[in-house]
Amino acid sequence: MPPASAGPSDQELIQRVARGESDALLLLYQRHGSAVYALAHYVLRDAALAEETTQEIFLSVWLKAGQYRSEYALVRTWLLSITRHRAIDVLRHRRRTDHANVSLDELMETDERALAVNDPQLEGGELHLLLRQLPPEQRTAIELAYWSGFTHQEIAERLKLPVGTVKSRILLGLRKLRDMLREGESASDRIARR
Amino acid sequence: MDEMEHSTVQDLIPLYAIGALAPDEIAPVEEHLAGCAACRALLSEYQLVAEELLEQVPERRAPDRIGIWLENQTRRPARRAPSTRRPSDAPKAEPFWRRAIAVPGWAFALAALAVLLAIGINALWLLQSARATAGTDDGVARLISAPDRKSIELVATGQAPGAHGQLVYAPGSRVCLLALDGLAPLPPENAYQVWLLHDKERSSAGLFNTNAQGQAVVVLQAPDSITEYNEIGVTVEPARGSPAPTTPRLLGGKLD
Repeated sequence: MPPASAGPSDQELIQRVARGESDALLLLYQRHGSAVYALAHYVLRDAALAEETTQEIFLSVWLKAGQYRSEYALVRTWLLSITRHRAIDVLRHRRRTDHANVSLDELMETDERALAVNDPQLEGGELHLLLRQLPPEQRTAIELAYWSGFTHQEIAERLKLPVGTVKSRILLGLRKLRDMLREGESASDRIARR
Repeated sequence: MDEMEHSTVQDLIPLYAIGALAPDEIAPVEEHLAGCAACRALLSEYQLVAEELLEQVPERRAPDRIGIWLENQTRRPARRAPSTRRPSDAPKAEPFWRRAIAVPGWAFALAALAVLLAIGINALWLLQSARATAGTDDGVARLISAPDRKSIELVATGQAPGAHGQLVYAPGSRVCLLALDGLAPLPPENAYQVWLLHDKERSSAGLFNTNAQGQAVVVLQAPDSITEYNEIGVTVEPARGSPAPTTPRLLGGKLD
């Protein structure tokens, strides 16, 4: 999470983008471009696709900034949310075509690499540490659902487990994450601090 | 569809919040949510978890060319009027330099032939490959018939001795035809990239490679009206294209 920055707020910038001010879009990109690219890269595990997705997201903001509604999400959250959705769409399309045979082991191996919080070039995140407190089977199920775009039924199929088991793992893991966040600094606290 | 039990929905809400439900499970959950404040409150809690997950991906420096590309896309003259832009106007997903070259149809072949003959290029390879495909390229057809059609010569720099080319365009149009000869065929990892310059601002107008004889005819789709630009140039770039030239210019010409 970048520190709170001086200058116009994200919301002011998005309003200016909606009026066609390109400087405002570039400032938004400077603030959040790396996070968008990182998220796209994390989901897609492909630098070129991540780059295209990042371009697409900011071009979409340029064209559709007027559709942003501040009552639903912060600008940054909105950006990251549409990035995740778009990246998962791309990922699902790839699975249906040339990457249909990617093994689960391969997927999880790359997930582990992406979660390497000890990498000095990466900034580790609190939830990564929290995720590591979850039992591995819960963490795996959540990661496959949230960052690889699998439904719980698809995960069950790939892990060769009953659907109910996968559902329970996701449910239990998310409940723990919710409780951990309640105990620590909540998202709304962080939002208020920005 | 029968309404789901409250307790069943409560167990599904966390999965709904992170997008892990199967498509056929989503509608009943949303139906229940519409009438159940307790479940909406529960959903809000898990949506915060999902938002936190978004924030926890380690930051990774984005390539500088994305910012350059974005600047190039948004700072050209005569930009948009957002309130009048329709969704169908939205660009496609690929980088613009990759989709800049139009698909040739029979009109392309005819126009290309005219250009090639005009500059003395043997167009047999083109005619052999350009079959009468369905449909026409309206932009090229208009270019062919435009009474005010113009052409300029592209002159080689010392980087590509022997290369030459011709650009055919109609003032006010974005579509133009570029025919080139004397360029070396590039390996798959590279492509020739066409640049249009407006003052000191460059825009990519397309990628191409030559045939085995070093010839190429490409339909360019300029980002703006061709008369908005002062110069045209060609460089060698990675096959995916580049946001800005990374090698010396091979050919160039000044637009009227």
